[in-house]
Amino acid sequence: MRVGPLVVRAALRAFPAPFREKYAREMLEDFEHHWRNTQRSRDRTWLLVRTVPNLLTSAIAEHRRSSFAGSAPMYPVRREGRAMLHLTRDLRHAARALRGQPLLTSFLVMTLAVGIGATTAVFTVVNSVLLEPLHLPQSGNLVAIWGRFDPESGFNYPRFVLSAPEVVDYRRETQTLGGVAAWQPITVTVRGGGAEPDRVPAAAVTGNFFSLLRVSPERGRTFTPDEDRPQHARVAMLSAGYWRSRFGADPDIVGRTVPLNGEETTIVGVMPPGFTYPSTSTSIWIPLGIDPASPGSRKSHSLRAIGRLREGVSLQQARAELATIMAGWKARYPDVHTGHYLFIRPLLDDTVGSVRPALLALLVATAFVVLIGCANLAGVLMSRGEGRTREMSIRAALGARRGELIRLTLAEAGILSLFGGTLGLLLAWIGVRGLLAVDPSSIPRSSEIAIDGRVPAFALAISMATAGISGVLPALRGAAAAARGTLRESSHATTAAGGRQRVRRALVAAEVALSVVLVLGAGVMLRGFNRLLATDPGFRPAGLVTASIALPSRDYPAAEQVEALYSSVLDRLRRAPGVAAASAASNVPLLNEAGVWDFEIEGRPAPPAGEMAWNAAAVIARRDYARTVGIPVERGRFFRSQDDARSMMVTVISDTMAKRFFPGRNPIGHRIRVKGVTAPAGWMTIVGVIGDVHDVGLEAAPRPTYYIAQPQVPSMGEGPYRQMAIVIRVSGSPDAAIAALRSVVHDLDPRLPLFDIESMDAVLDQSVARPRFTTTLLVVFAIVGILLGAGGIYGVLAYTVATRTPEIGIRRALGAPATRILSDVMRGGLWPVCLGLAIGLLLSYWTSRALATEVLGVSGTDLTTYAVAVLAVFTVALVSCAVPAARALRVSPLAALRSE
Amino acid sequence: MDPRTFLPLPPLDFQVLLDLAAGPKHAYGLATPVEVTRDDVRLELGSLYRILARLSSDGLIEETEPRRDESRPDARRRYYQLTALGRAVAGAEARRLEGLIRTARAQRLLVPRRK
Repeated sequence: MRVGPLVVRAALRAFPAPFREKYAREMLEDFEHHWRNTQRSRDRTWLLVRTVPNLLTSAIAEHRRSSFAGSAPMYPVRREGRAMLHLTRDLRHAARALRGQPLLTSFLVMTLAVGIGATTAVFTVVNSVLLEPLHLPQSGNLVAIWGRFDPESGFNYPRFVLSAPEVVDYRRETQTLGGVAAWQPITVTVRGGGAEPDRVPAAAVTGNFFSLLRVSPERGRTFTPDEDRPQHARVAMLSAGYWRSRFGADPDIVGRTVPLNGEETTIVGVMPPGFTYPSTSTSIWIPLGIDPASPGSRKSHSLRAIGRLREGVSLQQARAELATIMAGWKARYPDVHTGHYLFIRPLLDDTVGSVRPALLALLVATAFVVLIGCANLAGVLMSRGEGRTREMSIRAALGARRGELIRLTLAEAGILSLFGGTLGLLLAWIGVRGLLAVDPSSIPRSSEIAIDGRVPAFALAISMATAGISGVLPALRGAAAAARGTLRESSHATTAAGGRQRVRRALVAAEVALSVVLVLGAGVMLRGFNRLLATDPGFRPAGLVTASIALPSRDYPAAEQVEALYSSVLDRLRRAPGVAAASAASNVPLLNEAGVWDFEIEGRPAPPAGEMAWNAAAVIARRDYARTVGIPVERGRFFRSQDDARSMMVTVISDTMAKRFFPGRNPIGHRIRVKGVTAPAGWMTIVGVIGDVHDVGLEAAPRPTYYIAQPQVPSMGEGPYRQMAIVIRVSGSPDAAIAALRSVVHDLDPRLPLFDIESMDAVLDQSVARPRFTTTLLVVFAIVGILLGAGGIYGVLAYTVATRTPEIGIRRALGAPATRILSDVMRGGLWPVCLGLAIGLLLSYWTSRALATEVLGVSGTDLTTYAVAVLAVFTVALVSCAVPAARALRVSPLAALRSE
Repeated sequence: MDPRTFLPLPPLDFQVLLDLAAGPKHAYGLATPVEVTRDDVRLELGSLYRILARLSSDGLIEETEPRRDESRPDARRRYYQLTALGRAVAGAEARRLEGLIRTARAQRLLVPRRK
């Protein structure tokens, strides 16, 4: 890696020429030596962080020393008091100069405030979500444990839940983890307490769950090892929030029995406020009840798991151990663990990893806005510096040292940045609230987002960096000009000096390039997002509402009872006013993901081991489901009321499933069977093909899906399917339809709560909440960036035109045509713009591509986006050029000459 | 020139003079021991060369030919050694510090370190 020496070589250029000529080569060699002797990249970074600022401060000090070399004692007397005196004097000077131009000063402060504010706001989110440890004791050594299926196994799931034997074996075999706990998210129905029945999110957890997380109950106790056995008396723990809301913070709650899922359950404890792991809405914990002696099938995966690294054990060691354990499992269970193994990763990554690319993209975008602000400030400071060359020269002539002149400009930049930073912090404070108002739910841990000590420190650091970046160049240039004794130049030159022109052009080019990257990034996101929104979900969400009910096996032990309840709920509902159609299904698109079930096809040998297994998402549905939800029937038919437990088993498959498993053939009439269902009646005849549905997300391809008729499920050998989402196509108000459903259910069984009540419009909306959040912010940042950029380009060009006023006046006086002058000025302005466009396009080629795939999950960029973005930036730049150019034309020769 | 006009010496300048008192060294050799063996102050690249430039121009140190007995003389590097003035200044600084230490002892600020 050659970065370090390159950076140091650049930094060495800051030294005065005589010093550089004598020492630079050796210094670079010394550094290269250090660099080579430093191996780890972290140490190298540290070396660079130590060396470069030291070089820069040394360079400034050396400038100061060399400026009075020969006239004063070689050896500077350094006293703290004097430095402070300098500083306050410089700041006073700078403040006076800035007060003299309130309009410009406030423009600059606002520019910086917007940039710093946006960056700080996004950093606040990044800080709370990505950097802060999870709010669990010693969360740093908690790991999430997942399973993984490689294609070799016949499946392809990069992240999958675990089976109970896997959890039990891993817990027994590991030495590096201090414990392995598992859980399964469930929902339970709570009755009693005098209130309506409630359906709440809960978790079935292993007995060591709480001790592994190192959280003790506030009241009562956690589960005993005995209670974590199958068939044990029912016990539960409550979250503090649920204890309060449902049981009015009853102080005698511990020991009380409460009907959970229709079973009397003893409450043994209440967890402390704030503890709701695994999900923010978890209200109840019950024992999972795995029997370590006979944990069940190794192939039945349903558990989430976490572990805790033992003290002093690194993640690498735990991974190495896990690899050994996996080798053992593969030898013992080759049929299960070929291409299937466990992996671990830090719990924080697991919780927030998915949002990381989006947040980092936003942080980069805001950094660009800050950089544009820096370029603005640098441009203005330079122009001001030149306007004050005379002042500087006089100061220099009166004995001001080079260093003092440099400090004066840096003090101005510092004051502006500090004001901008302070205002920015305020904006960030407002902005964070704004961000959360846009969408809180799309970011994990959003409830924890807060401004802590790190945020002001960050804002301060950004402000200082801004001052440094934007102040150094103008300061050095200004001081150099003054040192040359430019009293002459300022009175007679009619064109700006070449070097300064170049710097100014570079600033314009940089602003344009940054704007292009920002605008293109936002454009790519916007277009990708629109494409996402334009995706046909495969069903009609408008006017579709859903609510779920679940029938406890205690109250509805027989399949006939389940069937009778659902059929009467739907019969009554269909007759209710405002209901155009109604049906039910086990899983609703975008709301809850259907499980994938393996199947067999009659008359075909199953795929051999090592090839992809035959499977597809399986949805249990009732008649009219396709019509209610709005999925078109492409061939054959959907379920009818005749498809019941007594008739022939039928299934309906999705278009993708038909194309994948019956290519070029009519699938209707073929028979498939859920794998493992051996009942003779298990073969299901395909009677129809219906349209594809984007069931897991608009960005994800529709999964092959097969539908199974709920009344027929018991004939498959399975128990009745008890939890169903009722779907209603409304002709009136959605609220009325839900109210109708509520009263129908209440009439039939008042003990049944309705839950997951949603309008499908809102579900669809929520499914794109995160890309919408990212896109909205990126577009806002791009607009801010391009406006700031336009201001900067305008400022620089206006100044250039102003300095050329005498030249233009003379040319006009000599009879040069207006168009010629106009094109001259425009050319001077647009040349750096075009350069910036080119650089920006080059940079965007990678950034926008990465953005689209990493953040949005869509691939590719298109020409239109590029064209529109380039056109937008170019137009803005053109206007920024045209205004000063037009002003140049109005220069009257007389005024021009008088300005001399 | 009276060495005392240079007093008090900035601590890093003093460190460099002390390191050179043992014999001529090049800049890299100066940076390394200071950085590795002393837990006091790190001598960064920029500071080191500024100090060398300043001490040279003040006449406290001078450039020299590499010593012959150096195991692997690196001809491209500049070697530095103390001048008579430099040695005198370093000595004067050491005496000044010694005086300070004596005062500190007298004020019971320096208690023997417990091992």
